[in-house]
Amino acid sequence: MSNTLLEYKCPCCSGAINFDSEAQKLVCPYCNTEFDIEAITDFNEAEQDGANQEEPTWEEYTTESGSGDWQSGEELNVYTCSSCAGEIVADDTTSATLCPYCGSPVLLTGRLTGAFRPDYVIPFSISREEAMKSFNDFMKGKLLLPKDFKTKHTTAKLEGIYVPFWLYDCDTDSSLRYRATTVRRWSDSNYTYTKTSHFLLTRAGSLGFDKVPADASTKMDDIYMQAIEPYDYSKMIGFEMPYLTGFMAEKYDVDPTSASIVANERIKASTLGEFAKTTAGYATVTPQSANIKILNGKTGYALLPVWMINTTYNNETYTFAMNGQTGKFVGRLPISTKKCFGWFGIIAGAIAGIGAIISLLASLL
Amino acid sequence: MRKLIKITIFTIVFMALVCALTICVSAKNYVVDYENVLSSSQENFLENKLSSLSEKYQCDMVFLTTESFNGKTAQHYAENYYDNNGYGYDSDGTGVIYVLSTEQREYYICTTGKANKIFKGNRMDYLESSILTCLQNDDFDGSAYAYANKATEILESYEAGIDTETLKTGIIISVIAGAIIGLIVVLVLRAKMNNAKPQKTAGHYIRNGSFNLTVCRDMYLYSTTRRVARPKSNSSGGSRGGGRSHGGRGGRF
Repeated sequence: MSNTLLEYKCPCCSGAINFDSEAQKLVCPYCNTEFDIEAITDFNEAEQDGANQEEPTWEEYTTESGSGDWQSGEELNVYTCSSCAGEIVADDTTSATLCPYCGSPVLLTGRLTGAFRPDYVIPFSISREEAMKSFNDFMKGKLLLPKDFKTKHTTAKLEGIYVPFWLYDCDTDSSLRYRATTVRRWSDSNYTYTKTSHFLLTRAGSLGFDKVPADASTKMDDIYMQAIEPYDYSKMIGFEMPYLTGFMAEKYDVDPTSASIVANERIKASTLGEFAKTTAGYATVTPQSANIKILNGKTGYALLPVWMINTTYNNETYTFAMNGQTGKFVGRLPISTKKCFGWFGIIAGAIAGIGAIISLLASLL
Repeated sequence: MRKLIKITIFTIVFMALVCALTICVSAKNYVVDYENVLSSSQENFLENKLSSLSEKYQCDMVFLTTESFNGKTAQHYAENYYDNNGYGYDSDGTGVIYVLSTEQREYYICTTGKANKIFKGNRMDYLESSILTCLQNDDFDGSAYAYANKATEILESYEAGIDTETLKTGIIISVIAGAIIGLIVVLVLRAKMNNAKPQKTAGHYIRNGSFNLTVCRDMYLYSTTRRVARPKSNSSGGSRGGGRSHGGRGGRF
């Protein structure tokens, strides 16, 4: 019987091990670590697997795959801001007078053409008054807010806007490998011993995602749109024109393929997270390779409700957004440097003072 | 007349002898250097320093070097030497003896009476670490000076009623802790000013019950065992004998 000679990489020191197929155990010539044959072959397969990564594919979004064309009587007006070039749409009963992005009053009107009809809409369930109250509540208890912000900031018009989102449904098929260790310590009268056992963990399986949203408008900050998530999809309904009455709507300007990049990353991160939960019980776990395939990708188009507040303070614009369905309020408030130093001084001084008194009492003989 | 002179001379000689004997008995040697680690000028200097220190604080401060401990442990040797050579103030024999054998590379700091209370905890750590630093560099005369100097500091602060070492360390720790906690609180407050954070995952959108784990295999690869020698701890303890109680600490270097 002839021996086949294969070269493998040592899991411990990465040195080359020549593998005699007749041998039952292997010893690395560099680090003297002993291995089972199965462990070596599995480990080297995992090294190869890490390199195979496939691009996710999403079914193309068309009028056939979506809710179809606009129906008669569903004409929308497009308002284009001559100052910032922002575009918003509204039905015939709603007239836009101010650009919601820059506050400019000069808007050019036209008819909406060439855009997809949305598949879904979530109607506003938070009123204008509730949105304004949330903004005031958001400022409460903020110890670093400049003293004069509440009085000096000029609130631009509060706008309720339907923001376009692409919604992605998919399945994932993944195979992952991790390196893991367990550590055991014991000692006798002369020495302390630490035994570290190394393992190769293999996981594979599938996981499905429904309606992962991605902001389809360049005018809306992606971070803000992610921060106001999640929406309650159980209240989502098929798109009907009357829901637009009284509100502005954004016109989408990011195509489904470009927007899917963000969704892909989030889907992959969540998949890694779910599989990581199955590796509990080890002292350390290090991901070695992950091959996540996104399959059966379908895209939907929805208008989701957002309250936007833009305000100016010391010549800087501060934007706040609120989920028009759940009321989740997000934004960035200005920070007073004086107050930062003030609080630092008070806390550091108080602790140092108390510590000094305790030290003095402890040092009395 | 001659008899009177004889008696007078005899009395004077007798008195002188008694005086000399008294001086001999009462004069304690604070530096006993059998191993000659000190030059004679160093010995005189230390003798004066330790003797005035002893008198000022009513606490004998003795430095002794010896080639061997005569088969005893360093602790026993130090305690016996201290007890049998008339050292110690008051009925409890207050004082300290620092015994060093450069031959055996071992030392012991023995405290007695009220010195047990004065030289303990942080203050003993301070004294011992100063001495040990010198010994590890074979700076034996330096260790005697360190002993005298640190003991002076410790006795001074004890007399003042404040343990300056504890106070100093406490204040430094308080200031650092205050600065760190202050910084953490301000960073937390700053973080609260901006809650517009991106979502890195899509956990909300995982289809219920869709997670299906088809492969779950944990394979043992190899193991490594590391052996570290356990540190040998220095001796520390106290003993009681002849109405005096001893404490102290020592070790090898």
